[in-house]
Amino acid sequence: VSKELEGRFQDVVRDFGPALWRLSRGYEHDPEKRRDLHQDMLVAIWRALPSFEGRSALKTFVLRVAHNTACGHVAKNKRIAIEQLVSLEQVDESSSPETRLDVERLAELVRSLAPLDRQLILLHLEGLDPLEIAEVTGLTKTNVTTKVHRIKALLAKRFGLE
Amino acid sequence: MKHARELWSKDDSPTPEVTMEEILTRSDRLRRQVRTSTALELLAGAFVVVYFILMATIPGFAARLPALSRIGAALIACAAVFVLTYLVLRSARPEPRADVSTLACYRADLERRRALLASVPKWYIAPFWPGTALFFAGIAVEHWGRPGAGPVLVLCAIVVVAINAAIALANARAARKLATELASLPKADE
Repeated sequence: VSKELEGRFQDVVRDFGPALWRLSRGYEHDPEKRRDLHQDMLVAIWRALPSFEGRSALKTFVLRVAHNTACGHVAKNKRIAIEQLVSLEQVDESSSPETRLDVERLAELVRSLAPLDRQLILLHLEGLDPLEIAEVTGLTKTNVTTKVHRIKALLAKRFGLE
Repeated sequence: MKHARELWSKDDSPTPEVTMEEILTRSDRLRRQVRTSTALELLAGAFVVVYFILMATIPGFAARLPALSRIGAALIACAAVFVLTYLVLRSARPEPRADVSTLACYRADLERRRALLASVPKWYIAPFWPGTALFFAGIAVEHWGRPGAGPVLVLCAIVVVAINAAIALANARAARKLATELASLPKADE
């Protein structure tokens, strides 16, 4: 293992570790499985890191690998059938205000979403702007902007959040 | 009004410390798991292959089989080799990549699984049919005319066809669900 690569990886863990940990909360409720997913993401980033050539921002690179790992994790998880997950549009229609405002309620909402909508809301919550979200997901900026608008409306309606 | 990002960044549990050693160990373990799972699939298949080869070549191994059934057993062994090879080559999940968007990665994963499920009749069921047909044909010819043999053979044939049909239908249903999910995905340039 080259020291340089190891150093780069340590930087990634330092800079993005908390974001990856939060991201894993959007996929797994169970603490053990969440820790597993978090480690799987780090392993995937470690393996992918030698291919990083700086053509995109490091943040985009790290989040792509992390979300692609998490997506595979959801696909592997036989407990949740695709048809059980809902789209942003569906959840927005059936939304009623939450009586309690806490992070776990928000995470529950995130986990109930279909993979792409889940990625969008997670990236939005991590503070990425529509252009950055478009880079990670491969959707157009227009498409992302529309979805983010819907996400904001949903968060306001359900949780009274800005 | 509270900000969603502020709420999201709150987490009662601190980010777990992960050492470099843990990452390397886990990375190696993942590689080993893939190798072990492939080896187990091959071992299970090898058992089927050896069993049917013995059936085809050694008279009286499982039962005294007629020549036609032994040819059938040999074809079943060949089909098992084909199915195993196909499964090992096609079912492996690719490593998460950074050079493709999450949309492309998700689409590719769904498409890979849909194609595998939709083609089950071609790569899983069809290869066993010639061998199975010859196997039963041999037994049918041998026992033709004996009292009670006809209904037993018909029943066996119905059971075999029903099992294969159930496998095909279940996989086709799962493939259709994935196709619906695929169709609902936005195009990258939409």
